[in-house]
Amino acid sequence: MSFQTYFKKLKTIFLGVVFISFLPSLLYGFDQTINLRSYTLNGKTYDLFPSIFDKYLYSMTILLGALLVGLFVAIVLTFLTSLLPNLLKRFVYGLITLFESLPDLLIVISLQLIIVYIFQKTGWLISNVTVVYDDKVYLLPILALSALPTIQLFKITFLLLNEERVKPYVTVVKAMGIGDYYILIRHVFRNVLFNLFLYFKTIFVFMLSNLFILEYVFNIHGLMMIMLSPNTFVFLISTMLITIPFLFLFEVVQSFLHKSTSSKEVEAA
Amino acid sequence: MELLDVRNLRVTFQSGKEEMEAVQDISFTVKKGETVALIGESGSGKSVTSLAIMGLLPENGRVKDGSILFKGGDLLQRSKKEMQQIRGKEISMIFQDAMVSLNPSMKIGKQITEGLKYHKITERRNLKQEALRLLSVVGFTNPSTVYHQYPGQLSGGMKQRALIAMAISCEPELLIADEPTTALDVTIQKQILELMNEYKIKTETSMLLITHDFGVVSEYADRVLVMFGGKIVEAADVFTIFNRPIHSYTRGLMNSIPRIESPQDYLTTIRDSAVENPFYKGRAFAPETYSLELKTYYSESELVEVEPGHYVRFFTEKEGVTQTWQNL
Amino acid sequence: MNWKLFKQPQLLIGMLIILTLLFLSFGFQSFFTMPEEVKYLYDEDGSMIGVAPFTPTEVPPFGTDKFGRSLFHLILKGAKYTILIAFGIAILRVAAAGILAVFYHHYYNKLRTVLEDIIESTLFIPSSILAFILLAPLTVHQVQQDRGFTEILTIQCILLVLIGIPQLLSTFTKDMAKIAEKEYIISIQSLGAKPFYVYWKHILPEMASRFVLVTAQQIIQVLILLAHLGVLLIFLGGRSTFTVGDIFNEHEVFTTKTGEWAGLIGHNFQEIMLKPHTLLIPLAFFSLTIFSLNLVINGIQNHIQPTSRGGRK
Repeated sequence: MSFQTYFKKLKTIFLGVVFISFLPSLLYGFDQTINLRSYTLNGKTYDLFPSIFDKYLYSMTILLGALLVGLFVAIVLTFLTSLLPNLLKRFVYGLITLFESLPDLLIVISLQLIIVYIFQKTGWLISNVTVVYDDKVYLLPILALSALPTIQLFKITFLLLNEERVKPYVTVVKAMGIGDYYILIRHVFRNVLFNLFLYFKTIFVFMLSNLFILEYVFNIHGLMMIMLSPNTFVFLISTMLITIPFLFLFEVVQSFLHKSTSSKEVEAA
Repeated sequence: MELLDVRNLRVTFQSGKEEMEAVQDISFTVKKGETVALIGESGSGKSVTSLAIMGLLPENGRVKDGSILFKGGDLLQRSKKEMQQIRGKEISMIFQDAMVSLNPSMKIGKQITEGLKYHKITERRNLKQEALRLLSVVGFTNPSTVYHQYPGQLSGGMKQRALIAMAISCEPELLIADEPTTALDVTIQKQILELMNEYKIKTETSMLLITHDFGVVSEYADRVLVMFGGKIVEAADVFTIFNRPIHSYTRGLMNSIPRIESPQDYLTTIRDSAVENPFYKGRAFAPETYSLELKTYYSESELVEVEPGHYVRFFTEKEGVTQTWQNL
Repeated sequence: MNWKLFKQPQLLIGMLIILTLLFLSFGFQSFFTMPEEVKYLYDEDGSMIGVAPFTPTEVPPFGTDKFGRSLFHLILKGAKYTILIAFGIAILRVAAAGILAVFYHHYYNKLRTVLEDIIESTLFIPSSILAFILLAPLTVHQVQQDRGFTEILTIQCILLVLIGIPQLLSTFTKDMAKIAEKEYIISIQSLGAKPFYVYWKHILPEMASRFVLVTAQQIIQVLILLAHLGVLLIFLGGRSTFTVGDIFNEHEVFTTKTGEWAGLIGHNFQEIMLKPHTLLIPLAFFSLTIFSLNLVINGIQNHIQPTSRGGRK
């Protein structure tokens, strides 16, 4: 990848974000708050710098943690289902459709309720349900956030696996007398993981939206909550904080894909 | 003793509730060091036959009847494990579409030596050396570069050569080549076929060559089996087939090759639409007439040995046979 | 696209559920005779045993919210607004993005400089936050300038449509580029077809089933977006304010004017710990609708490529 295209894209996105952040003024014609020093949240005022970096790190930890957990669980699940007979596979696919239909809000809220319920019954608090003060909880948000991406990733790998298993090269390898499990792991699974990168963007956008509702429901003081505060400058800064590293990741993935497969670009549906 | 002896092979495919017979009662043999060509148009059951030998039929296909004897033992009776030991090691296959037959995300060098590694023929540390040797055997002038390349970086002909390298890596006794040159340019076709033939002669490997090109057959095959509609319609050694083709499908195939010596205004095409009709139950081809006449279609046929080693499929009405034979 | 699409069982079941919801929603008063409001419960002696909100076991089938309104009624009433508005927004998004994509693809080099900024940047802003930023000032306006219900609703819908367009535009343009590369398009062009004839007669029809699929996916996304906005107390059609509590402990509660489900989630959101059913039941209906839409999507995908989906080999 070239840094030149990266910076060019970054500039483009920056202009776009500036445009979007002043859109309310353009639409309704009122003055937006621009405060370079502080922001308000839940009626309290906080200093913008340097605490925003702290919140940012926290949010990103949750996001990446959830992504890794989701990826890991999805891969394990796919591997296990690939060993099942065909009839059960269809059943599993039906289950995926069912779980996929649960809105992120429902999952987050139910998880919260379950924990409260367990607490009421046993007095055992798995994790702080809502963050009242500024102390940070990690386990629960990561688990809550990873639920839906797990299902999505599971679905994608499941479908990719089914597609991959009937490709001609698999027959070729079989014709060399190589065992089924060896083929599954060394060839099919490898390629599926590789193709998973094509869906990186889709998953990211999806998770960002989940992260937002998670922070709101759990009352986590993270980057997404800060973005909600009526301060245009804060919005601008937060968006760029997300953009800078992730655009870089996208570009790296893109060039990686471009190099190894001769420009096969499939957009995730 | 024959290396491969296929007897009365029947392969059916299940599609929905219907059962379709793709290969109907095929018998042939391949001797050691011999090249046998299976020739016929697409859909005549050539590839299915080869997949049945390998035990790699798709999930909806199965061998209904018959036996496939390899070195005297029936391949159809072997367990999955035993088949894995035979595949690649004793029988290997070169596939038709080289473009998609290689794993796009694995380096060529790794890919062609997978058989060696899996069957533990070559020690792990000698694998690279062996890969380089194989690559140079199949005519790469720069094996060490190709070793580190991905399939996407190779041209069609190069991929086909890599596939051949893979197929011959375990030094099989029988090599099945399923239209190995169909997807390639004419100039490269010749190169690939020469390469395979050279290897075959050098190592006394037997070869089952599947093709639809009589030009290829004339140059490389010892014996020829002409297939149509899942049946063998004519079988003989290559000289007999070319000098005295009897079955009109064979003649039709030969006539459809354009010739410079005797230019024609049109190419002879094979008119036969009935095989595409799924309800059709009669004979697959009406050889004498090219006709679609129902009576001809619904009569039985069988392979008749018209001269030593030359089999032709005829109607069962005996007078019909002699008549045709005399008219030639 | 053809009528064989409607032979997919999953698609039929999905559509059946949604149509049933709509049907019940429009005509529910003639089917059910349950009380619409239960503020207090009395036992046989006539003494009061409870004040709203009630759980589903106390007042079947779904209990009531804290104003004593039966959730069952609220949900059925709201179904038509929720589903139809989501459906409308999704269709408008796809239609607008489809038309724009033709121009964007055709004048790619000229338009790119203007539009690429916005398209690329919306990727990094969660759509719920984007919607919140654009819609939040409206509630202030509603109070200050006394805007009418329809006016607010229209503006909200337009904004919700606009939010979705950039990403759709980018996917559609990529699809078009892929189709335009196909040989038959080149052969049509070599026969002298005008560019917009090619779009109209060949490219857009080829994308027809894709449009249906994307519309279904968009309905789901709009539904989730509405739920998020509901939590943020932004309701379609603006909000009406209730004052609850006694004189000493007075506070305002916002409810939706249309009765759409997101509003139910929103105004019950504070009750998450006390009366979880008031939150979970609307969410369950969201899930049901999304599930039916997913069935429709599966049906369409099975129709487009029969082998690769769901282990159907």
